[in-house]
Amino acid sequence: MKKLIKRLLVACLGLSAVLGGGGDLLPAMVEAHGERATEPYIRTRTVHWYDMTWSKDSIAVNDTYTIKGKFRLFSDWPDAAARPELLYVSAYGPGAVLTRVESRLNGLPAQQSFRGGELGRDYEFEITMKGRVPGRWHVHTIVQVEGAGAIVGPGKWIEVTGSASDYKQSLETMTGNKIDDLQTYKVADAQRYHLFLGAFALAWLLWWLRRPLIIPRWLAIQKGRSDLLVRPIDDKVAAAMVGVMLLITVVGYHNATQAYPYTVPLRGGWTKIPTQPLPEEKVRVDLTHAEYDVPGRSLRMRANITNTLDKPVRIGEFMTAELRFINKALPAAVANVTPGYPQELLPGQGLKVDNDLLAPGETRSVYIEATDAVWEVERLVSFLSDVDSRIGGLVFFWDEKGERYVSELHGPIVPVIKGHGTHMSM
Amino acid sequence: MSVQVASTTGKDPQKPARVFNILPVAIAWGVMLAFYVSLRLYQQAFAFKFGLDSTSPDFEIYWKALFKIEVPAIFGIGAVIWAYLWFTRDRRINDISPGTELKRYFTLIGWFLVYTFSFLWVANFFGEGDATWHQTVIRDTALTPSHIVLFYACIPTYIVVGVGTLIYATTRIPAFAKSYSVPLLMVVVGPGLILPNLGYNEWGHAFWFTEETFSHPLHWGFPVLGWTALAIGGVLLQVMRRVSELFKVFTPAASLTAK
Amino acid sequence: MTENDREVLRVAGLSGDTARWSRTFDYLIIVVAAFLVLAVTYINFLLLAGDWDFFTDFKDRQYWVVIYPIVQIMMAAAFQAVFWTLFRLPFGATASAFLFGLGVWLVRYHSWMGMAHFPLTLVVPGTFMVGAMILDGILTVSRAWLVTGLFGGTLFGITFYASNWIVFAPYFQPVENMGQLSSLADVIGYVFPRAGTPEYIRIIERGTLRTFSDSSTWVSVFFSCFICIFMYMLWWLIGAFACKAASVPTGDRFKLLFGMKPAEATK
Repeated sequence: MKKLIKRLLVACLGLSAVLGGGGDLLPAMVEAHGERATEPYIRTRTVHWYDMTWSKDSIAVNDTYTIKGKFRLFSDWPDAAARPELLYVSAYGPGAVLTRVESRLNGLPAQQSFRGGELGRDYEFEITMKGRVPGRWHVHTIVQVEGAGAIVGPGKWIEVTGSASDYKQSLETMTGNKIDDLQTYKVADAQRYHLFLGAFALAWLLWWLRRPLIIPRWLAIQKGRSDLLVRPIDDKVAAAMVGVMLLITVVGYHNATQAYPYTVPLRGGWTKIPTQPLPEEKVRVDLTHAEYDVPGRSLRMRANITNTLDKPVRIGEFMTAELRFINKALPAAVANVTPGYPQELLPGQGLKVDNDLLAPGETRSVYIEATDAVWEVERLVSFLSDVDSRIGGLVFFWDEKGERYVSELHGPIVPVIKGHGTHMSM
Repeated sequence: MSVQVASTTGKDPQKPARVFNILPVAIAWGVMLAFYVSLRLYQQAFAFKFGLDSTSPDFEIYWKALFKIEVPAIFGIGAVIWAYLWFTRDRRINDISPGTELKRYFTLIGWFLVYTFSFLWVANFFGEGDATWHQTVIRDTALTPSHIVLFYACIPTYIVVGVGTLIYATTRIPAFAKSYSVPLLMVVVGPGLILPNLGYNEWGHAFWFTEETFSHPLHWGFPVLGWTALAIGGVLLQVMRRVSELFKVFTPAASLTAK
Repeated sequence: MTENDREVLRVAGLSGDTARWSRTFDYLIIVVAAFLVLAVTYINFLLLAGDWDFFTDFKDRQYWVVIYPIVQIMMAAAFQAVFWTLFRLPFGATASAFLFGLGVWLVRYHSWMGMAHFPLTLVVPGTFMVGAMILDGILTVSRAWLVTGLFGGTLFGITFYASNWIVFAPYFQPVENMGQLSSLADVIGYVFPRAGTPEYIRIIERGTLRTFSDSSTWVSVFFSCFICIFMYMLWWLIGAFACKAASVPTGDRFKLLFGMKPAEATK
């Protein structure tokens, strides 16, 4: 019933939006993993994910799918967040519903964390996940930065079909031991051992609990008769218990070391990320003014853009906080959006730019506007209450041959609260 | 504490037919068990489904609403229990018979049966459940599905029972009316302070601790306040001193002379 | 009931109804104590050393081996002190370890596995039952907390690692993962992802511990023994202190509320 009402509500709202003619479609209902509560200065100025692809939308239990893409460690990294000197890259659903098969950063295995992330550089990653628990799961890529916490990338639904009981993860150790199922390996042995020890413990407790206990014993002590309370037989039982425990430990330890002569400690090393060449900004973007119109839900910016190329370029996309504002007037930019990209991260109105064709060598002031209710939905407007009210993002340019150039944009942002402010326009 | 038996002499001791009735304790356990199990099932159904994004409308409906209902409801029930205990206090506390006093000591232990039971769910069951939540999802609010259950349902519940225990002892048992029992105050107030300690916890998580390590010094307030429960040893000693005196009243003279 | 039991009751002056009531009292206190010992042992451990016990891939040679026994001996000693000081019952440590074991498996099932889908291989807990029974045994035989602290504390530290290696050795078999040498525990942690536990957050051995013929774990074990001795003594004293029946007289205004005349109340 609840579902029906919700669907009706969404349908009504969608219909009214379409009839209204604004094309301002409401963002679809979407699960998030708490990223909306992350401060906008982290979401817009730390890690920018792009060229993301997901190999499948639906997998069976034990099937795998791969998430690939790049992220930029943003040059204008906020001072309030720790620098990415130690980071970990992965993808997560709600609990261990999917398991990790393989993950790589710049081609290196990403089991361990990475040292030495450098601002202004791009990193390529690839994560392969395997279906474990059936359901429809919202999976995010995440870069975790020591001291700054989790920085969430775009989330996408994955459908896992089949039965959880079919899930298998087997492997073989380097000593040749075959592990049939990683979920249960040696758990029964651990439980049997704990039960075995627990039986001794319980016997010891009952050895005492069966006697007259609290008040009689306390009174006996008061009357100087402690001798009645711990008897020679108790000494013998206690000594035997100590002996048995030591024996269990010595024999058990000996057997364990015999059974597993080759063991290795936990992996403590981190990997230094090999430095990639610094991306060259062929088109430079210097933000001169940015404002957010609170009632209009509109980000408006003016920037001096310098085209150092020997060919003209146009602005195709502005991307921040996983939201992609596409200049729909530029076919190359539209074509750059892969079909599987989460629709809720593609604001309907796209990007509005004024006279953005930049001739070779030209420097010109360009107006850029990104208007959408998604600023509210994603709680990004709270940058007005941040400790440093700045905006950042990536701007994508295309030349006429379809080649892409990526530039960073960052600078202060001011709010336009109704009736006040500068009210920029084209 | 004053433990003289002077007041027990020269009166009809009114030997009780039975000293303890387990039924009220069993009912309290049953009600609380049903409450805790319901909360756990509610988590199973809605924690991951609607609890990951504190800004979503579903979170408002399924989680914030629970928070807004449970806190006033639990403390409201608590206020009624505390008020009842206070207003029905024994206004002639020095005149009670040894039989009545003995039964009241056993009832006090009954209160402890309920109090320690309620503390268990915080220290163990939902406490580590909170660890499960933090280690597996990204923190986005102080009011997570695990906190709404652990901090704002389970802690208020044991505070209600703990303060009830304290009021029962004070209003029914002469020794506790004549003197403040330091260990009893520790046993009730210490764990109770875990609730205000949450302020420190959330402040730290909001401003400087972005990741989750359970053993972090930010969390040490919880075990330190938990240690105060050890003072139950002192309470037990106070109880035993008086109960053993009261037992004497009902011990046949023959066995007393046998010593 | 044995002859000794009857003698204890006789010395205590309990017979007939009072002996029966006393036994009722025993049963009630057993339940109160069981709840309390479990709760206090658990909350103490959970927030001082919980991380090392949650996950197999936290159980390292440097910290797990040291911190787990040091934290668990705290409540083991405190409860020993309470039960021994008041009743000469030498089972505080065993009760603490046994009840902790019940609690820890309960949560591993209902929460880690039941709510967040983690397999038990990732969350197999450690145990200190061996060390606890040794502590209780030595207290029984020696009847002296200082002796128990010195010898029991040492054995508590030593036996923790050895008695748990019986369970955990298989999880440290060498495995190749993405072309790198890894322990099975690391691989389990890698395969079943935890969004709130990035790899770097593990407080585990990061340096080299090459010593004692490459058996660096035993260095940690000996260090643990050393601290366990003093931790035991400190917490025995705290446990004994907790058994003080201190009280502060209430004021006259308060006494009047219960119909006591201020003068009478001081009697």
